Amino acid sequence: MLAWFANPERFMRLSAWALPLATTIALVLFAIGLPWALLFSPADFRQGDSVRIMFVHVPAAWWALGIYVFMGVASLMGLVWKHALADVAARAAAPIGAAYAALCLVTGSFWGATTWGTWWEWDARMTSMLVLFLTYVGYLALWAAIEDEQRAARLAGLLCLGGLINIPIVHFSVDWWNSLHQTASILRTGGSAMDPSMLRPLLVVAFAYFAGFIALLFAGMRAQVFRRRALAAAMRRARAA
Amino acid sequence: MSEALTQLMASEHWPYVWPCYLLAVLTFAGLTVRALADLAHWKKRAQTDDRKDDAGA
Repeated sequence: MLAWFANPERFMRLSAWALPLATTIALVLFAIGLPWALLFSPADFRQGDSVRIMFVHVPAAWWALGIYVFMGVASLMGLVWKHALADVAARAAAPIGAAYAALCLVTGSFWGATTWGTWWEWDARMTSMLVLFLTYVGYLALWAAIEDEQRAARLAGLLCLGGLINIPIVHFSVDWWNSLHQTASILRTGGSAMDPSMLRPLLVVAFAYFAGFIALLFAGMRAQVFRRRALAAAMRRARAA
Repeated sequence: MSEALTQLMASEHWPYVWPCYLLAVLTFAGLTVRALADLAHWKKRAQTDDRKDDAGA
């Protein structure tokens, strides 16, 4: 199964139709989800309209974590099995994950300003999320700093695997430490505590973020495959000259 | 829809809500533009190099 996906030619054929499909799904879900969340979902009885920030903040947090786990799996496959597309996938996912983490931090700051009266606290959840964002930045910086791609892939993969330790810390920080941030209300044992009138638009926006990630990932991976082809051709010509 | 928007804009939380939605849209727009530009650039480079290889062969 993994070997089947390892073939770049097969990936290019698959992504040629999967990319426009994922893009269309993301656009449709955003067109439904964002107006639903902003205008047609109810205000919270305690937080009022500030709860609407949740619809763009929470999916960004979920997928910033999810994308990092994806990168961890891809990095492991690259390091252990030398999967041809694993490093390409991890590298293409990193800027998307970094953007989601940044979006989560900034929208969380706005939510904190109106709900808690502070833009930032060195609280366990916020600090561990900031560490996640900085890990993404470090991963991208490592790829940019090392010219030898195989070495860059190995070192970035090791950094990514090391950074995985932060993922459970981000998720459980609100249970392990006293935190301003609320505890989990959806991804928790005992099921969601959220009313369906808010949960439904939240899930639509969360799927839009996911479809957006898939589309951007495929576009990034395709660009990387074309880049490798171009560089290989340039090298062939240089050798022949 | 316009009534819901008018009500929301009158809310004390509106100055904190709209920048978050704008930022989300701008984030995806930025990521999309970057991805498309990168893809177009490398696709063109790869195709040009393929043609050069064919001409050289």
